Amino acid sequence: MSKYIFLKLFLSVIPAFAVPVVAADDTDYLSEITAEVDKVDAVTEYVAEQSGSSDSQAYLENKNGFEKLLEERYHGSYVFYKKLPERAQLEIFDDYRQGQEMSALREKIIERYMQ
Amino acid sequence: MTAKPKRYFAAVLFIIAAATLFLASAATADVLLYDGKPYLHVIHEGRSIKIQRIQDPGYELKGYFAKTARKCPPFCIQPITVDPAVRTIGEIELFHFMENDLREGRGVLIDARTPSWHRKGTIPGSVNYPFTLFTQDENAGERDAILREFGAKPRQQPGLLEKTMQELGLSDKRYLTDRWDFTEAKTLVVWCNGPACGQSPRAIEGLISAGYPADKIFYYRGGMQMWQLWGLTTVIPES
Repeated sequence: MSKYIFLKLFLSVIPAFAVPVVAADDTDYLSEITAEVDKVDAVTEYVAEQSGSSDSQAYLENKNGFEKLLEERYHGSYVFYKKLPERAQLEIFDDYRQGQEMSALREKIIERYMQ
Repeated sequence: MTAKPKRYFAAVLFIIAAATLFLASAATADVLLYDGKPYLHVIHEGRSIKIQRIQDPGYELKGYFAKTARKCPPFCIQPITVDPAVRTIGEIELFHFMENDLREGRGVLIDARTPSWHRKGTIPGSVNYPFTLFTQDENAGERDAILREFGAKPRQQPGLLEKTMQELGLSDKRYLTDRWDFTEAKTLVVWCNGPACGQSPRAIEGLISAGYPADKIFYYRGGMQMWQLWGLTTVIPES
């Protein structure tokens, strides 16, 4: 009887160790390939011209910050977001500024993408 | 000068000009994609891009993709085969894919690298679907949307008749999973940075575990490194 209790305990503990290890591998791989990309020769990257008042500059900077957040934490959503037309991107960003939850924003990005 | 010698002079000039033009055009077609094929066109972000090889015989690859050594892991040499059912292809097969499946909308050329890599330059005709879309559970919503985009159809619970037919082997269930019908799914060519890049193998494994038929997936192992080594056209994505 006690033999089975130990077996059950052992089996219940395995996933607790195994799952984070797999996740960590993926995260490590991602961070290493992301670091490597900086070594690629610089190419002419498109940089949007920022002009106008400081308000619009702050707006753009916030939007860039939002996009950076998406890229770093919600890769899939970021890819879809970047494929949206400018107008839909602004709509998503405005929702974000108004405090919309990230899960709702991510769903909206998919909806807009599929339209 | 009389009229006759003038005419001869003009004719000689014309012949020299024509010969120069002929030699010049012959010179530009020295380095072909393959025998009889100097170039091809693909549509990239709405623009027609001419794919050809660099014609300068003195050209040498420089920079990141000319390096022979990178830390392994993670940048380890990949096996030639990702999955026994997924075919690995080279440049010629990729050219054929571009001219047929891609042009006719029956295929998708997938740059499976993360967006920061993609932004540095890509193979014309490619669309960026980072491997993480297919490997991370948190991207399940996006993955389903992409599968639909690739032509997979969400499946309803099979009716009694369909179930019976399947059990009796009377209907083709090769491309059916519990959730998806991949019968009309497009052919995919998946690539990343080259033979030492694990991003596209990961994407392929993710696609297969999502049920995508392995015989509709192709692995271009050469990736960006071999593409550039052959001096083939690359583009900087606008989006």
